[in-house]
Amino acid sequence: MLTKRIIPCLDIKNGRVVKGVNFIGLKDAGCPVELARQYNDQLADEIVFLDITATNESRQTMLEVVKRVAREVFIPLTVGGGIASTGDVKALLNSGADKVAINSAAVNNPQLITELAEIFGSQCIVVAIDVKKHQNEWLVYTHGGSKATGIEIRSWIDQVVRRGAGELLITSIDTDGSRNGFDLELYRLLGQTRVPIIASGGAGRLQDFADVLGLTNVSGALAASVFHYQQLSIIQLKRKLHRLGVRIRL
Amino acid sequence: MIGIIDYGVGNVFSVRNALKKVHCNSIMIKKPRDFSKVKKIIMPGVGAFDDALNSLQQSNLYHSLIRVIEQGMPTLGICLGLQLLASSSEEGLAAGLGFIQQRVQKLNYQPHMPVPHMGWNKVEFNNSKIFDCKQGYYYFVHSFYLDIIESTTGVTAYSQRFSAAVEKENILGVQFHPEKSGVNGLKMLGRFGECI
Repeated sequence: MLTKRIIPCLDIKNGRVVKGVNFIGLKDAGCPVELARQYNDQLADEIVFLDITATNESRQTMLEVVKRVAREVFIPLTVGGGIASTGDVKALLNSGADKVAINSAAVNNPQLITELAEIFGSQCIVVAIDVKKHQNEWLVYTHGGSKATGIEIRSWIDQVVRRGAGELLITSIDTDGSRNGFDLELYRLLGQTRVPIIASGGAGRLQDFADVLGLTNVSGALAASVFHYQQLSIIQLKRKLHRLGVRIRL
Repeated sequence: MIGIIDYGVGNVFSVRNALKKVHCNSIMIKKPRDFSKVKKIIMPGVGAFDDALNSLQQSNLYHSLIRVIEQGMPTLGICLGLQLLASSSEEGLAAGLGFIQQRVQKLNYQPHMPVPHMGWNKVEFNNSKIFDCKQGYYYFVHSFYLDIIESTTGVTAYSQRFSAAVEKENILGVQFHPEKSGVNGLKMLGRFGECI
């Protein structure tokens, strides 16, 4: 059967990996090519790179990072951050990315999802969605979690899937960086979708992965800092999840 | 030298990188005469069924590709590349290359089984000449599949069981992406590329 994916995420700024808490306060966490290689050796199922500056300059740096990683790492690579046009996507795919994640640009112009899916195929279009809880509903935020859109998450998911998103990367801003666990309430609410959901935000301990992969329908769990600072090694995590009965590739 | 068939659509960056990693040189096959430079061919897994076949017709590769495969050149079809070796597909109207007498079908959506089938899944091997293990995990991204047939040597289960690997004389077809399947995929590519 299809296994659940463990996905390390590298936030990239000026060609280096950085990690913040609740989207702010950045610390240097190493060289992206070196980290990607280590994660690959530890049986990461996929690697996500997020360009958190997303300027024209950083986009060029990102293409170089992707090219260098793709020469050495032979697992799926997803790149996100500031992607706003078919040209951006084409350049990334031609540099060795397998999928691209779009976020703010999709909210500003939902038609972009349709266009990208038609040109490149749904399988390489990931829509990243950042959400925050307000009373009893989760609302979508853009621009690195700083701008409220007022859009309710389920209506947004319906739209992006209809337009051809092949996968959803859903980050809970409330739990991101907290290391207190994934937002189980959120992923339970989302239930069954036609496309895979990757859960993100809040990973701290092994049990957090076991909970989100075992108790909700998500296809994978993404984390950054717990892996960068070697609090959890991916291979140890995967072995333990396997022992707990989660379907895992080893 | 391994020739990678150019359908003019997707990018084959990762296939070429992976071949380089296992010390195999590759060139792109864009015209019929390029076949004289290579000893093995790879049909990569990018694009849609009809687009790839129409592109082969337009570049005049269609008939020469069929001829070199008939003459016994070792051929690896990856994902869509495997499907192109079949007679036809539910994905399109074009006629496939016809080396595998099957119609490629669409995966059915079922609860808990999103389509495309995307991610790492287990392949169980039987009577394979190229895979020396009983089972292993490989990376899949596809919405169409080939049924289990006599020449199937690898089977994977998703919403139904389907051919993950097919071996028939000089043809090897895999539904997964060896170039994205980590060590297992590199090993397979290395074995395919051996002795050239």
